[in-house]
Amino acid sequence: MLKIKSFMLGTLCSLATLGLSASEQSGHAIMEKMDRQQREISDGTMMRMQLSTCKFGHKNKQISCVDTPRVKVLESVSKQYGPQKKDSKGISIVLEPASERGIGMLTYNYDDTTKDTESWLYLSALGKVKRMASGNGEDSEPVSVFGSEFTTEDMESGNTDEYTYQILQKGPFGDRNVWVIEAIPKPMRAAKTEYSKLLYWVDQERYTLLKAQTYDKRGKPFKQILFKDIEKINDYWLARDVTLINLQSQRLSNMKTESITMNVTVDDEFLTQRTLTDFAFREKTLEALRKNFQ
Amino acid sequence: MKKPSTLHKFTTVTALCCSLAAHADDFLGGDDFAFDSSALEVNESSWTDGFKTALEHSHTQIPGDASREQSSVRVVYEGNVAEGVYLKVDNRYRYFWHNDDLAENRGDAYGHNKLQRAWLQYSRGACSSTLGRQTLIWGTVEGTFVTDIVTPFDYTEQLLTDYGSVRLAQDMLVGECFSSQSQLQVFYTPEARTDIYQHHPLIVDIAPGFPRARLDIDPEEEWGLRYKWLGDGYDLSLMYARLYDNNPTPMLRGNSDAGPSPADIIGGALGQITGDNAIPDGYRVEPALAQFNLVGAASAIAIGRLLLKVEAAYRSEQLIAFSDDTTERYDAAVGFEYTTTSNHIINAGIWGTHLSNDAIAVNDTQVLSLGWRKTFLNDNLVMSLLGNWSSNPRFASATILADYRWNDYWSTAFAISAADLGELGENNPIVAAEESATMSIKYEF
Repeated sequence: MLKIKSFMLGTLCSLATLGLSASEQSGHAIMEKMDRQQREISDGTMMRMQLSTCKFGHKNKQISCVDTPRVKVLESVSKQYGPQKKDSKGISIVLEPASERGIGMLTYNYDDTTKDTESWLYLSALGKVKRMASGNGEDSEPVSVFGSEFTTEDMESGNTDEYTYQILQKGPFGDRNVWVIEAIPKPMRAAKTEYSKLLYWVDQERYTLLKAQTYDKRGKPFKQILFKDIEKINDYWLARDVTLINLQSQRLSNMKTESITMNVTVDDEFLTQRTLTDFAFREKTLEALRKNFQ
Repeated sequence: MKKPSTLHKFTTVTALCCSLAAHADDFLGGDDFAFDSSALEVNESSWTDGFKTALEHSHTQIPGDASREQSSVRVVYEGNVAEGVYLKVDNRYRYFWHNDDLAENRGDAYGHNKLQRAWLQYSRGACSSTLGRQTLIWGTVEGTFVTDIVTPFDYTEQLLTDYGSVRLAQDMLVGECFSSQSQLQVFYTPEARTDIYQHHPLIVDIAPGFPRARLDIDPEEEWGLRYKWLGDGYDLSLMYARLYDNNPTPMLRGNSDAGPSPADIIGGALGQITGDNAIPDGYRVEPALAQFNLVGAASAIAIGRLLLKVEAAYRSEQLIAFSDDTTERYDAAVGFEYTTTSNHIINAGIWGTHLSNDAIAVNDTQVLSLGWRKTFLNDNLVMSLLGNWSSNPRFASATILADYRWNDYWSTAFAISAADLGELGENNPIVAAEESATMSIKYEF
């Protein structure tokens, strides 16, 4: 939950920039463009998403859930700040399951790594807003995001100096042309990552991810992430369906963007503590934003 | 569902890993696993979305006897009823089985309905107002009651598993105005509810041989305000309130100003313990509630992974039991919460109270608390440890709690407590016994 901001703000694209940087020029250009696109998407965005997690079995490469999926439904609003729009503010509200309904989290993230992330949690059972202290999140172990197989590390973005990159292959992947980019954590990153290597399949035309693959510290395949239902919304290509398959725990998490609206005006006042406790104000604002859902 | 064997898991993982490795040279081969996500149904919005129902049963066992045996059903509704108008209703019916301590005190099993929340919130411009039964939590240091006394704990509730019910909600009007860096909150309660034992009558033993005194009293209006400043990495609250104490104080009342003082009467009675042991003629025990002014301040400061919390308060006109005298009271609490790099959460706090009247035998009290919390198994298992020590009444307790969520509907909690009751006595609402185990099971939908 520490990186909830990234999770909510740029879920669909943040994976695309996971730790990406480039000493190799063309790779760097690709990542810069993807990173810029992510910030643009997250600036004035509201989305309703469903996060489902289950154990899976497989038969002839076909994977399916073998138990009843755990389902979380969330609504989130985000906005970018700062001269280069690298700071962000976001709020997320849990709608399902019933046991967690009403929990809200407000997070301010800063591009300046010397400045701590600020977050406040509204505990609906207590009816109280609690300030959280998690530092800048840079030195923490990855944790599960909302109990899913996605971890805070999977949701991070902007760690461009902490990896070395290499384009391994170019060519058609399904019906799209892609670059396959390998990311190796530098020593500064190695201590705090679960991964020894990451691979990305980047659409050459749309600058979106089609697939990602991570490897554990022993070099064994760890997680595979598949991006589907890629649609053009407000001139941005977005994957509305992202599935993370954890090959080691045999669990998968699927993230569906049920509804989204982008480039809408979000009042600064909405991204404050008021929204966590002033429900009438919150719902009035959200209802206006929901009218733009796609 | 049959649990997959270890061999099966190993075979599956090996097959998955090998199939990836075999194609490591050709990244464009399309050797992907296929997952049909359309099998995952999307939860559509429904009129029932605002409702939540919880069924729960809990049992606390102390050596040789059940201590708590309660079942409950709780229904919550919340949602927008018009533009800028929000409604929340939270009702809970509890049944106390015949072997529950509270039922034994009343002589039989019984049921009790509790309307915990029923409020309407209206928001316009920079302000909002909330009218109805609600809770209002001030303060920053958890587990202390320095400034967090507007909606006190309800000691008939299980404190371990359901934090939504442990507060004694008040019928009040709360108004709040917001700016980007501050909040101003005002509340008014026409008739405060201070009976923190609710349907568990508070009866005190004054002294050996004296008739037991029932301490019921109805307070009147309370009001107060809080100003909260939100800075970068910290917040600071200043509070003022006119309140009633949450615990009635037993007082000796006489018919005449002449004669011995209440202290003399008590002292004499304790010395005599005569055959009839009656309170001297013309005097009686009556409950009284202190009405006092609260002035307080609270702050939370985030420094990296450390959250520092500080609170201080002054209370005027505190009653002294069996005395005509009053005292001023000073409270202070300091606490911290630290999240380690491996996401263990450690917290601790110390709360001190000082009564300024030197005639009181013990006028300084300290309470220490220490806690640890960590989530495991994709947030399904929450383990926590809580320790408390109090100097007056002297007691210490430690509780380990495991809360496990089986799926989106079922959850169980299990707690084991050990305590040194010290001066607390056995029939207290805080610690059930020197050893106890609590199990609860909950279904929510």
